[in-house]
Amino acid sequence: MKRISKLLTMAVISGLFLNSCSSDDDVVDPEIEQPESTYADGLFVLNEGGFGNNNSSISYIDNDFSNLESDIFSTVNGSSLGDTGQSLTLDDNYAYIVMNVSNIVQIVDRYTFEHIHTIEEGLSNPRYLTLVDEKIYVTNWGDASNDTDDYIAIYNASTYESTGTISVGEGPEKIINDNNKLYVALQGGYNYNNKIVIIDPISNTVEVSIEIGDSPNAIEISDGFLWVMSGGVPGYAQGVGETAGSISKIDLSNNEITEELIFPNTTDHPSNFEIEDDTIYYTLNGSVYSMEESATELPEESLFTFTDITSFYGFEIEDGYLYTGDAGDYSSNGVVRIYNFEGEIISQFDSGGVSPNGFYFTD
Amino acid sequence: MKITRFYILFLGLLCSLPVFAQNDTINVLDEVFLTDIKLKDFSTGQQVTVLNDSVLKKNGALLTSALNFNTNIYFKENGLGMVSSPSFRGTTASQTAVLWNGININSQFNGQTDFNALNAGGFDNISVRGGGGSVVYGTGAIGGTVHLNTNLDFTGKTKQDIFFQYGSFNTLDARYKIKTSRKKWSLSLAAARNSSDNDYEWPIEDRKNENGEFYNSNLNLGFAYRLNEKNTLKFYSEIFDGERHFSLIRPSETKTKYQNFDTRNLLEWVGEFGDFISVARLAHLNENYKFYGNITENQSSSGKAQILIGKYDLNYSISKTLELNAVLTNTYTDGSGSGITENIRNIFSSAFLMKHRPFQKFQYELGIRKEITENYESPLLFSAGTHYDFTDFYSLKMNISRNFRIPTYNDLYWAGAGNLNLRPETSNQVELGNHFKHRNLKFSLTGYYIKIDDMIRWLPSSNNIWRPRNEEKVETYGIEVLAGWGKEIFKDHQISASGTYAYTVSENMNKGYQLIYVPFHKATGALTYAFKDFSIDYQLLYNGEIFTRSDNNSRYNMDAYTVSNLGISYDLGKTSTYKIGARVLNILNEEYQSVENRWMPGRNFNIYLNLNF
Repeated sequence: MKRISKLLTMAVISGLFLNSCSSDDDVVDPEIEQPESTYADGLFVLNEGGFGNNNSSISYIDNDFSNLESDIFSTVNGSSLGDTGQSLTLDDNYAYIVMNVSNIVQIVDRYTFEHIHTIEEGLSNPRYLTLVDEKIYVTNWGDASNDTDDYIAIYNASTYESTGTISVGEGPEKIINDNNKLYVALQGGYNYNNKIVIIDPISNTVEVSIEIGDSPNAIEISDGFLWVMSGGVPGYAQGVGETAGSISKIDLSNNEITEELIFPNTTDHPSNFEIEDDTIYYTLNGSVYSMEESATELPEESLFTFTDITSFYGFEIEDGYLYTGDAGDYSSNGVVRIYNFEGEIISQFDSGGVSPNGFYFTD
Repeated sequence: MKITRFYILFLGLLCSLPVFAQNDTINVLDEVFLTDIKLKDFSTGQQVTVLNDSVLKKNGALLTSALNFNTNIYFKENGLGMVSSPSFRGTTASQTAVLWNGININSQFNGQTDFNALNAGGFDNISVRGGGGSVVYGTGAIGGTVHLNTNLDFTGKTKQDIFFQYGSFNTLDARYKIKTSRKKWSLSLAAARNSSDNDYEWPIEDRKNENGEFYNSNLNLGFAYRLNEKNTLKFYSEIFDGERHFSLIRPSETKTKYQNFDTRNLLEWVGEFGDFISVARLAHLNENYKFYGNITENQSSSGKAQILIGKYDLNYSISKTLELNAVLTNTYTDGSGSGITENIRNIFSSAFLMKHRPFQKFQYELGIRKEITENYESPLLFSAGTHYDFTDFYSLKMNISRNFRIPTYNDLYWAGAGNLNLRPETSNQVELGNHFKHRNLKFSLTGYYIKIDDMIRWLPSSNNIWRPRNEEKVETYGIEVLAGWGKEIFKDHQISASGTYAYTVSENMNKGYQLIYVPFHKATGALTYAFKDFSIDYQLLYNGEIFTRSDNNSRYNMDAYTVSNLGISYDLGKTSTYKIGARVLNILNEEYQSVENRWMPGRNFNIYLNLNF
């Protein structure tokens, strides 16, 4: 491990050096301490790594898309990030990285990436994380095919001590908070679930369970409404029929579903649902679609198709750009491509690690 | 045998050739009743290395270690004792066939054999043959074949062998073997047990190998009964029961474990009628595994397969120098498992072989095989081998063959992903071997070229569903060197040395990159010195740098490593063997990994007792 991190450090140092050669006014003197806010103005790319290979990593891209700095966690801290980076959550001071196979959460200073703490207790197949009311909530699948061992783990956000768990149904995935409530999508783990649960973070109990389409993969709140995208049951599922994906809109004043848009074909399994400036975006079969929040029908035409991507992985839309992660053959570094809405590639990077699965913006 | 030695056998030569008869260091293969008679008879143009019992006692019970230190095969081992897959001549794990007494035992599910899920103590010898062998051995015989053999003899003697070894990490390797025979019958029974806490320290402060414990028990039986002058019945049986925990990279990971229970039975009726030898075989294989994704819960994923093989083999000797051979085989498999609904497949194959030695110095053999099955379109397989002795010290071998690896149960039937339209992976390959022999020195240099088409790879398709496709083409070529030397330098002073070296290029033809986990260089060496009843031996293994990324990004390469072992032993016995010994493994305390983030043990020790009477 020491040897590897030494190698990584060498690699990164030589990378910096090479960059500095390319431009005279860009010389970095390693003796001078870097500014406090090294990672203040850009985005993080989470490279999942290979399952069981302990080679997950995080890269950083400046807002001007001039450079991608890879392995920032191991470079700063001299240790490996962990196995299978699932998600990253930012709050005012810290970044929380959920490492799925390692069963840990790495907590770092979000501006310097200096290691603060590693939560190692009480996690089993952890997925996503959110913070509310000085508490950290992490969704856990447990055994991904066991429907009775799924839970939300709770930690004190200053001491990182475990303060309890909340049992939930099979496969809790995305978790968000709004107005002092927690919203959790029960995606199903290796099985297929179809529920949203709402949790009160004061009593830490499930208050409401709402049935929606199969396999919810995204939740977002906008103007008092909870939007849920369900991917549907895929064709390879055993013992369950394939179902089409859907979009559900839930009125949070009464927790009633006010709108449900079901995709026309049972083979349609959309994902990457996002709302940006009252517009909904999602991807389906390698194309990106958009529709108004007020729309009552799904769009027929896509915005465009990502023809350059071999293995569509991470995806995010932010400030007029579409960020895509291409996992390629899953056994070499992926490619990050940044598109504009015309479908043109604005910038392209080696992602700095295997299987780029997420983009997280500093602002 | 008092002195442990390592032999390299050139079986492509007929064992009866006088050049072999003079050499007493060669194993007495032709005296014993080898069930895998094809290995002896139809290896023209290829090279067979035999690891005998004494070699198999040097590297513990894990078959990976025995083969790693003594052959050209490279192993990708997920930490000591964990999942271990071979790369033979740069090919993939499912392109090495493993034969148990001549029967192919690669898994029906993934097409591979895990070399740490076999106990080296169960067999009398293990033979390794480089190059193609699908005409005789069926699927997976592309890079080479590994033969696990039980020998039966009719010497009328009774021999027992007790081996008990204990070492670091609470590692136990216990073996008992008895061979006994009369005029009419012969019995061989081997029982072996291997267990270890396997909690060695990692070269990282305060870290050790966690959740790496394993155990396995193996029982191997061979029995032959001579009905009369012409007819012999033979029965072979094996039971293997093992459990391995899979070691963790971080202590916080979920602990998992893996169990496998396999039984193998083979009934054989050999009839010798004049110029005809008829062999009828009936084999039943039972393959079972269970994987526990969390050892604290009682849930597991599993797979089980029953394989029934009927085989008829008729050999006709037209003359002393010309043999014809026909082999008809029917293989019926019934398998099911997590993610795989029950599926039955039946494969019928017919093979025809001929071997001709038109004059003393020259022989050749030809073979073809064709399978009939509804599962896949079967290519016509063939092999052609020649052997020519130019002089007493130089001979040339050549072999050309087409071989295949058929789609596995996972490839075909995995729910929602299996692809019924897969074709077998097919290889066309050629090798040329130069064999030198001078006094006590044997040396061979073999060059080979293999082109493999229709390589099956699991890749994400639309909707990100991973499905197997006949995607890749791979070209692999290289050279192999095997050398062996032994001499009594003074009275009572014996010294012997052996070594292997492999240079391997294995390229994805679509992209031009070297395959991951295939080193360009691998070398092994062994040196033994014996004085009377005292013996000391040294073993060396070098594995070159490897790529871990498919685009050969050298930043992620894994370092080369050199591991060596030192052993001493003393034989207290006068007429029988009462040997005590000790070994230091990884004596130079090399910090190394065979797979990314999977440390192997540093310097460790064992002591053993071996009784032979």
